[in-house]
Amino acid sequence: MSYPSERVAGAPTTAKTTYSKQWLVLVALGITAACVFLAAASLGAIPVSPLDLFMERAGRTMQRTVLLEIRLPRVLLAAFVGAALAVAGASLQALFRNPLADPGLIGVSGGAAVGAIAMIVFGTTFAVDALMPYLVPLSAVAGASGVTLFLYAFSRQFGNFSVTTMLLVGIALNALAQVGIGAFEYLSDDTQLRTLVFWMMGSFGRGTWTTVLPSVAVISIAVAILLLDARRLDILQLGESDARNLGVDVDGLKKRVILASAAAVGAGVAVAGIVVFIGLVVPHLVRLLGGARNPYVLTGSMFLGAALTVVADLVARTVVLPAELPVGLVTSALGAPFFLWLIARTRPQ
Amino acid sequence: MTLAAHNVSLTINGTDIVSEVDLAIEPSTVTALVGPNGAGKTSLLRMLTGEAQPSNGFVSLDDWPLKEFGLQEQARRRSVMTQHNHVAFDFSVADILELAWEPYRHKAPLPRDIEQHICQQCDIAHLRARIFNTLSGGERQRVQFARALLQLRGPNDGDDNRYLILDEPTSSLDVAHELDLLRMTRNAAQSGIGVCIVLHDLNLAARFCDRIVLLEQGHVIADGPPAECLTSERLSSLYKTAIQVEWHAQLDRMVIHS
Repeated sequence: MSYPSERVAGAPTTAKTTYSKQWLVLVALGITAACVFLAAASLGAIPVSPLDLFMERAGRTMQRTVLLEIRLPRVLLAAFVGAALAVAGASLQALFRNPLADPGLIGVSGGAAVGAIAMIVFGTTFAVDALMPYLVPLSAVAGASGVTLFLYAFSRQFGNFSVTTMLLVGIALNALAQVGIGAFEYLSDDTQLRTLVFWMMGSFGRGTWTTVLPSVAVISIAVAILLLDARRLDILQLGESDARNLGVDVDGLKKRVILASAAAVGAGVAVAGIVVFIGLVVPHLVRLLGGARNPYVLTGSMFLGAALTVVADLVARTVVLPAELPVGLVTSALGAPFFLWLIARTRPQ
Repeated sequence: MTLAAHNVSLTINGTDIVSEVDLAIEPSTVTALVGPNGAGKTSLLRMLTGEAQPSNGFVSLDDWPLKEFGLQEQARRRSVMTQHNHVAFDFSVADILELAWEPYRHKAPLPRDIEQHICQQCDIAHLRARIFNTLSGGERQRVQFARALLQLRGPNDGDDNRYLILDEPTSSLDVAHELDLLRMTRNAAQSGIGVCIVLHDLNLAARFCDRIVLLEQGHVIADGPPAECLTSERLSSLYKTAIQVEWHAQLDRMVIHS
């Protein structure tokens, strides 16, 4: 069959997984995420134990400041961006019925990137430097929203917006975004190029409460919307006609999933740059652990996405102390071989 | 009280796919749509299910315009087995069957005894733990048929009629399962369900259906009981090939040769 769906070679043909096993996996992933979060908050150039704070033993103010003002917002940002990318990735894979789909696919990451880079390169000429930390994310969100609104308008224009059309539109939008990014890279000076490259590879280093909290809020709402639609995404796997015949408003579902994934990805890209492969790798791992039902896959992806991204960021900021690596470099180093393995092991049916 | 198309036409890019068709699917009756490829059978079904909007005319469900029913309400009153037979991820057969209960999710839990009974009837009880995508075409078709049956077994408010719409449900089945499926379809009709089925096998249509609707290039050219509808001359001219209809004394039923 020429459908873009493949099965992993050698994968079992029976599903021994029961719902109780899925619950078990979810609880385990949740606990893992919580542990990783606490560990990442205490590890770093200056070790801080969060427990000390809770037990009012934090007499040393520098540690307190490091934890509350630097470490915590950064780890929180990594956790939320990771959760957002993973849940958006799983949702888009379900929406496109394509296991190799990725949030970047519909062009939203590209749109956000163009928005942010435009601000990095041109912002200084008309804006006060002090405003730049706010203007860059704002511009990235604007770019992501622009792409999303275009997709939305496009889908309304063509009453019957097939998944294939959508993928093709995404490819076109990404090509356009690459043109924009390339042009801005060419126009930028040396210092701008340095920020730009670092941002393009992703980093949670700029996480301060003022930039983190709005993103966390947007991501929370978007992820909640996606989780509420998880069952309907299961039904969509039967095909759009069959989903409709089972009472699902398919067009409404598609719009909600597109917009919510775009908002989640856009809000993440805005503060952390482009962190790749989380949206592709995490849902696959979760499916390997306990099956394909989306209420399970989306919830599991949320926990594992957060945990993996926090770990990647921990590696990025500790492995070459006192310097740090872009986190995108770490996720790529882990994700790209996994992606190749996935391609090598999947075969068309 | 029927699922009915009233003078419906469907035109796509200037081509008439279905032209001025009147068709009522009645409860307790199996109605077959028969005709050559491209006669508009599936398009007519798509209008009956509300998936396609007629360019002209309208569809009613129990004397009320179909459009005014919510999708969930429609899903509780009629189920559809399409020819689509593919799922992108590794869902188990049990996962797929569970989806049939979506329209009743807030009303009652899936009754395991009914599900089990349908699985046994459709000969898929042994497949419940299998990954749907690893099944053969015929096995998938039996699972989809079971899903369509299960969807009509939810709690019913009042005495609403229910309808079962099947688009070539036997295309991948072996002879034995083909007969099983049509017997189950007949049983469904006996329990009051109105069935509309697209069939290519004229013998099956003649043997199991109460009423045959012959379609040619989007028009209904005959509509009535098999014995009246399926005549040698009519079928030969419809399919542009020599077709013989005769009464088989030993089997005591119509037999159609081509």
